[in-house]
Amino acid sequence: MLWTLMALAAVGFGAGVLGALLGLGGGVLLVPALTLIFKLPIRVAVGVSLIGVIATSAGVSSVSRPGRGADFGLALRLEIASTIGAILGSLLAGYLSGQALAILFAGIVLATAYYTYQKTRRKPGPASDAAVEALFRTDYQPVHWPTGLGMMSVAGALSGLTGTGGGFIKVPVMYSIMNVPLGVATASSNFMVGITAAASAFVYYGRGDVYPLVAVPTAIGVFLGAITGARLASHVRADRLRIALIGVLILVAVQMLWKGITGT
Amino acid sequence: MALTVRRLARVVAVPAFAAMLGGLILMLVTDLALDEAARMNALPGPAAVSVVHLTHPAAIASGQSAVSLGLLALAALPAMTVLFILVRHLISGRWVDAGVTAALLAVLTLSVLIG
Repeated sequence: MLWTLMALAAVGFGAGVLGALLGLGGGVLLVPALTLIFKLPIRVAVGVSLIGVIATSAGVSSVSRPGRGADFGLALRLEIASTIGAILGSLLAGYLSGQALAILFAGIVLATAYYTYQKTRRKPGPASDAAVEALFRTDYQPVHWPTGLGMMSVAGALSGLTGTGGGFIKVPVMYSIMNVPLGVATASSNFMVGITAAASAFVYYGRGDVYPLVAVPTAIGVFLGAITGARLASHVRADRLRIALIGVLILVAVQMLWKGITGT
Repeated sequence: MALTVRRLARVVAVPAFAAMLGGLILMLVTDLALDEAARMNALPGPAAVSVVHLTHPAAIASGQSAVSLGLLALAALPAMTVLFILVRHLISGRWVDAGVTAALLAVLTLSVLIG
């Protein structure tokens, strides 16, 4: 049992590091690891992952300047829709079969792989003050609020169903649809995902889907990994990691899809 | 604001993790002592204790209350952050932002009540 708990912590640590380095949130890595390696029911894995997302958020917040560049006003408004979606998604998860959740999760992982691929295609601009300033400029007006709020509720629902943070929807929606600068969108999303996960976590807790023996070592590992990843962020070439991650995500999506179809 | 949110994260997260880790160790030791290793040998093990049973003597003695309290405290950290932001808005007189933040806090409270 001790080795199992240490293995859980190690998996959590890896998910935390990668989540902090790549801005992904560890859920997309944690849930497949828990279901495929430790053979846990997916609903249990989702409950653990939600705790892990909160732990990631806490870890990053405790070492870096949280919310740098984030538009708190925008984030809080969007987060209302996201949190409502998260509650509904969490409640719905109690009625869906493990196979259905696995298939849904496979789709989420593929979407995350595509989002990560899009990030690798974005040419890194010159690291000038002007370029950074453009990412975090403040002279913008968010538009398409109804669409943005609708998509945020979808992101929240998916978070509640699959244990992910939803950032792979929130950032593109804010950036591509709502006219929010990319740096601001990313920072705002990092602020939002922990709140979304918390709303779902309480529903899972009340339903008895949070298991300390799994959640605690994983959350500790994720917390330490997020702190480590946040400190490493300025020293690591994230674009190379992203390329490797895309391959891993595709493999994971295939395995989760197989698990959902066959029920094994 | 950024510096204080960071401090809030540390103030809440560190005791929460300490409670979780201490409670988990107590769970393992208690089960070994009571020869109930079978309960803990297979994942996922026992579920977290419901809020109404946190003060049950058996849950306290076995460490499950401490673990569950730690998990609840960690899960409540984002809501505490929102509450902190609400207070800052109220102090600054930013009433519209305070209203939005209060609405978000109400939704988060609803999730706690549903759970």
